[in-house]
Amino acid sequence: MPANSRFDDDEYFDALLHAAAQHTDPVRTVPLPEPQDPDVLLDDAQRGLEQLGSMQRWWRSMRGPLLLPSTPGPFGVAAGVFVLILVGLIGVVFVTRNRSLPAPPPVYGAPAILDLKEPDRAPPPASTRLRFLSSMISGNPDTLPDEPYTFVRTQIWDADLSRTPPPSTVTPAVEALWWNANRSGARIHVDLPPEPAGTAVIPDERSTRAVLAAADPTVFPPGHLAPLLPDPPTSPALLAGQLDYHNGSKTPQGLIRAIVEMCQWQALNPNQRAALLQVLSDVQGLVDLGDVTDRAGRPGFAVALDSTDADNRHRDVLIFDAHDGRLLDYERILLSLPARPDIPTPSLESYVVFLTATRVDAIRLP
Amino acid sequence: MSDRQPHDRPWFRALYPGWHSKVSRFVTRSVPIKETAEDLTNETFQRVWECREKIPDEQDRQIPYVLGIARNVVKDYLRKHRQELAELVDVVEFESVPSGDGDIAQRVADELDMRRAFGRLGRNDQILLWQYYCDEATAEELARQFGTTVDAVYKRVERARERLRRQLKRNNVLEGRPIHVRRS
Repeated sequence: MPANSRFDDDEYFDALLHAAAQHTDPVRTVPLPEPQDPDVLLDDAQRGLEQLGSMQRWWRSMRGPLLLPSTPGPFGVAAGVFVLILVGLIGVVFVTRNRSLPAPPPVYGAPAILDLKEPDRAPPPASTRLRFLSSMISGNPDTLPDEPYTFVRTQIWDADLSRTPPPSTVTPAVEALWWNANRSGARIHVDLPPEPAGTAVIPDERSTRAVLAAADPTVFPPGHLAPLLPDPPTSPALLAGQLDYHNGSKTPQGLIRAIVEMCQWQALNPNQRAALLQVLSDVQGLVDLGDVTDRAGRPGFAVALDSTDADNRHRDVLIFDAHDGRLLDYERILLSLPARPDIPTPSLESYVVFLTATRVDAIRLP
Repeated sequence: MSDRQPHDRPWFRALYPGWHSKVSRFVTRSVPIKETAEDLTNETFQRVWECREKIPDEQDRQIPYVLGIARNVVKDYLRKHRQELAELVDVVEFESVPSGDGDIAQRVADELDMRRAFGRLGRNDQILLWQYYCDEATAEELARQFGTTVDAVYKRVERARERLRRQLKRNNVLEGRPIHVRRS
């Protein structure tokens, strides 16, 4: 076999990696520390705290558990003072030189928010429309091919709020996932070229196909993929129970996010979609925002839920096809984020555009 | 009135065994020296005790928090002892590919190359792959532990695998080259 192509054989590559991980794992050769008597440990901790000087105690209380070193040290203090003076001087020079220039407007790298219709009055609850659509599609024939692999293709984007200042461009990604009943499969994740803020380009199918075809899939051996609800039930009560298990926060918005994650794995048949709509119809606070066109240009209707998480407010929006109940798009909008005045609100926080969900005979692009 | 459970000694005693198994594995993998790993594990729990009031009540959120403290303890240690650790690293030597042609020699050479490439991954990626391949931790467990999503875990695993694959390909551009290995 040529020198390099054998590393493209995922089975061979995985066997090598497995062996290397086993061989290099330190816990194979270094004995793990034994648990101590917790009381002795705590007595030591208490004594250590009492021996600290007042300055050190102040530092520890200021630094929190995660971010800063245990003691600043004389060099750390001197460096801190030096940096503060330097920053102050640079600031004075900068302000003096640029006094006449207006500050450039901050650019926040998020796609534009979808053009959702703002109703004149309070939007109606979504339950009526969801129940109606559920009853319409329940019992429809299953048109999914009878093939072993579930194939889901999505385009996704998430705001990177960890960076200060936040990024000024938008970098979405396309994902393709194949999996079958023995939890084996493959996944391709490709970042698309950065786009200017305020845009959200969904490449046509041909371009996406070319991007995916050029990327190497990561192949997962049997048992290595863990789909959320491998076989979603068609009973709304059962589905609600199973989704609730994956709804860590036990909140309505947590349920919506569990549904979105499930749909990133699943090609649902009409009865499963009907059950899903029934479950959603019971979500308190979910409102009908009416007809909308999603990012891929497909008509649908939007339902939305506003929620508060700590001091932050979010809006979770789901867009469904009004005829067959397929989930087309999920958007999360940041309505307020008091801790980050550099992030404009409202602005988009995340989107998942569901482009394909079907069943295929093998790990190849349909 | 708050329903928060008091974070006192009984609370710590109850949670310590579960936390210890995770922290001790993490610390040993980060600093694989028995006595040091013991000290760092104990120091982690002393710091956990110091900031016990900040530890969440939800068990799912406790492990990411405690491991965050362990990561910081390890980082502090590495920063202070960089030179000593550098001297512990084995001298790089040359080892030739086992003689003879055929699949076995190739496989042995590839395994050695993979170990070397693995050794060049960042420690965080190595720990992730050890947990994934050796502990057979599921993505859900890892996501809970790192305080992230299942998807993010898969992406991290994929990125680490991709780095390994690129490095192996780069190393194998010249066939019949000597293999650099660390003395075990």
